[in-house]
Amino acid sequence: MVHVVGMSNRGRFRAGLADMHRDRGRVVSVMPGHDPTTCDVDQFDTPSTLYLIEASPRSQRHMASVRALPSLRPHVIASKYPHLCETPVPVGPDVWEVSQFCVSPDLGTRDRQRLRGRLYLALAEFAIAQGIRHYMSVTPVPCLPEVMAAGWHARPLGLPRVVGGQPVGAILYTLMPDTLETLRAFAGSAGTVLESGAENSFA
Amino acid sequence: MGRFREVQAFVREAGKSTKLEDLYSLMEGTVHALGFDYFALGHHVNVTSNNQVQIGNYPPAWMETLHERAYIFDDPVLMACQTTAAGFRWDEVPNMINVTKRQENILRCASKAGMGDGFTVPIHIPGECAGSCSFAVRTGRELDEEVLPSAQYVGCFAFEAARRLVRKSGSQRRRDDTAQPPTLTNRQLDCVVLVAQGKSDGDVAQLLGISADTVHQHIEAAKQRFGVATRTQLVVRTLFDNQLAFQDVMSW
Repeated sequence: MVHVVGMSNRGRFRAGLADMHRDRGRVVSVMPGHDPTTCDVDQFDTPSTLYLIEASPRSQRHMASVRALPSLRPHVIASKYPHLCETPVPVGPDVWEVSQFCVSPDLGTRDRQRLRGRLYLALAEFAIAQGIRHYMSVTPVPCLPEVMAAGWHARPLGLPRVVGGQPVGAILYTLMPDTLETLRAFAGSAGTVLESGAENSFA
Repeated sequence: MGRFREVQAFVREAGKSTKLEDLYSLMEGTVHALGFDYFALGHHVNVTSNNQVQIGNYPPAWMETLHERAYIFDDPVLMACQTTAAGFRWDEVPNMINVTKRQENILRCASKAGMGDGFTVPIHIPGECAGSCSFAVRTGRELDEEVLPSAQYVGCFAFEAARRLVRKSGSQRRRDDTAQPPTLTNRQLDCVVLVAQGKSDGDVAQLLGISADTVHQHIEAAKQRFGVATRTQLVVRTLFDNQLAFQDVMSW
């Protein structure tokens, strides 16, 4: 089950959020210059920021998460990577940005693949519930084929550049009529992965 | 900006293509506009079966040699794809893998057949055979470093378009002739990932909280499933079949 965690329910997820920042720190630490024991927190992690988080049903430990920021408020691409866009940075109520996509490095390979698939699907379900049509994201080029194969329709906003030792590019992902069905097949999920009722609390 | 426009136009048209032939013509035009002479896009398999793609305009003489001598299994460029997730120039291959005598010969034959320097974009999708998209210039021409970012995107988007077209037509045919590679158990796969990261049996045992003997047994069983003799072959095979993704080895 993927939970939408934000201002109204973050109290319930205090441990999961702390765990998420720790795992994010360990994942970015593979880049040079990062200390693996440091949590990853930046100026976009605020009390009102929304996250999609999948936690272990037994231990409540963080397994996978992604941060979602509306394009109408400060976000990563406009603030830190405008040079990755050769077209104007998309903005509007139906455009959000996803960043800090993270799957716990403690999990096995199959679980990590499965969780990535579930998170791609959860993003589509969240988009439908919130009236979001596009997500933009700074995507490592080697990850792009998987995201497209999963079902997200992608369009580059500029040419890729090397950031932190790997090629990354600003990509605009669009929800198409067949996106949900393809994502479900990729994730191997017949039903909804997003916590029900989430659409009401954040509408 | 000019090059990005070229990429944007390619992405738009590739997404609209309804036949592999259209994608081929589109690809040929874009590849030339970016200053390359040749391209090849496909899954790394010797025979095409359902849901597998192979298109390109490599010199026909070279393609024949490639198939006749089954070079695809030890093509140094395709081998190098198993060691990286990011695009690479062919002149970097000797730094990525140990090039054998047979592979040196493959490179010489390719050059004689007119294939000069090139750039390859590896494509790794979990649960699918590994693939790639390569761009090359004629022997004697220089590779233009400036176009490589565009080539990375053209490679990714072309592969996705080809994959979509082949799956669409494949789903209308019988699907039972697709060879399924042997599957590893979750625990075997966990051990292989750590071995791929360079860990010893002792380290793997400690990380997974099991004994070194059990780790050894998992690795031996996995080798048996694939019918391979060494750990290196085991890692290459799991990467090849994409049971193991580079995202896992690199901890992304």
